[in-house]
Formats: sequence, structure tokens, C-alpha cells
Amino acid sequence: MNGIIDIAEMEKQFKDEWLLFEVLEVDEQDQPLKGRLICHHPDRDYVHQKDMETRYPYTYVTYTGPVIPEGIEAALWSF
Amino acid sequence: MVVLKFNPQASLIRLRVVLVSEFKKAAVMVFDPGASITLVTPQIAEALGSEFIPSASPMSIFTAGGTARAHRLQLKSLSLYGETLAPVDALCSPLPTGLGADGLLGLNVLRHLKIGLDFETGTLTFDRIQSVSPS
Repeated sequence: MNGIIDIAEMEKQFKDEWLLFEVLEVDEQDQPLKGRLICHHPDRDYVHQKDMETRYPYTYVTYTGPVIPEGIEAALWSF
Repeated sequence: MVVLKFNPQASLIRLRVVLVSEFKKAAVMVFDPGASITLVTPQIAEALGSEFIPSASPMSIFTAGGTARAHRLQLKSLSLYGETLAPVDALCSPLPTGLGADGLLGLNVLRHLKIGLDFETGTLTFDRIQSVSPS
């Protein structure tokens, strides 16, 4: 997982997983474009542990699975 | 003006947000005008190196699941597709991992923006309102 890759393309290659990237190239809006895939795993806590072990200055964490599983609805608020 | 496409049939509108504290993180957060304040998960708060505001005792928050307690922290900055706010107050509380997101983008951020939501075309547009001071 050492090569510099296109982040959007890499996101398409994994299903239902959390991905952690070291961000190496951004667009004009500071959005991640290219980087290194540090790890991928279905468990968010596993990815977090890798993030804490590596401590790169700019990382990107994302999830590639369905946002809300079928049969579940979300009602979110905090105040 | 920032123009983003989203799936109008999706259960949530998720946005990629760049958060800065001691470290810098791009994370996915849920667009949530129902949240009075922005919220980040404990994982993102720790990865950012954010420290809780020592003088601020944990706050009660009302959630869909009932009342919970959450620590308050301050992010050095939050950027939404090039629009940067600094500093930004946030609460730290877990979210269901099924959301696939590491935070809620609440009103203390959204009120700085002039927002357009078009569910016919699946387009979210926003511009910065210059007259509102950061929270």
C-alpha cells in the first residue's frame, strides 16, 4: 500500500469498508485528490488504531458501504 | 458559489469536511440542520489531537436515542469545500458506525452559509455569508 494513488478511484475498489489515506495532493478546495492507502477494514476502530499509530499530518477517513442499511431510517439531532 | 451533487434518494447527505486541530483530517460528516452544534466522534477528536475545553463541563445533549453527555472542544478550523471557518466549537460524542460518518455538521457551521437544496436535481449549493461571525 505504498504507491501514490487517486483517492476517488481507490474508494471504488473497496466495498463496505473504512479506508484511511495519507493525503499527498489536494485540489484548490483542499479536498483530497491523491495519497497513500494506509489501511482498509470493516471496523472503524481498527482504522482509528492505524491512524493513531501512523500519525500522518493530513489523513482522510471514509466509508464505502451503504450509508443506512435497508430497513433502518436515521433521525439525527443534538442540542 | 460551491455546487455539489448528491443522491436525492439517499437517506443522508454526507459531505467531506476538512478539520484542523493539532493534526489535519478530511472526514465525512452528515449535513444536519437538526443539530444545533457540530459534533465529531471520539475517534476523529483523538486523531485530530483535539483537547476538551478544560473549563467547560460535559454538556447534556438531546438525541434521537435520549439524553447523553458530551464534551466540548474547539477546532482550529473547519473547511467545507474551500469555505473555512475558524475557530469552530464542537461536541464530541459517538455516532452509530452504520452512518458511515464521523460527525454531524450542525447549525453553528451551517448558519454561516447561504444554502440551496434542490432535490429535483440533487444539487446542494452554498456561499459564505460574510456578516456572521464564527462561533
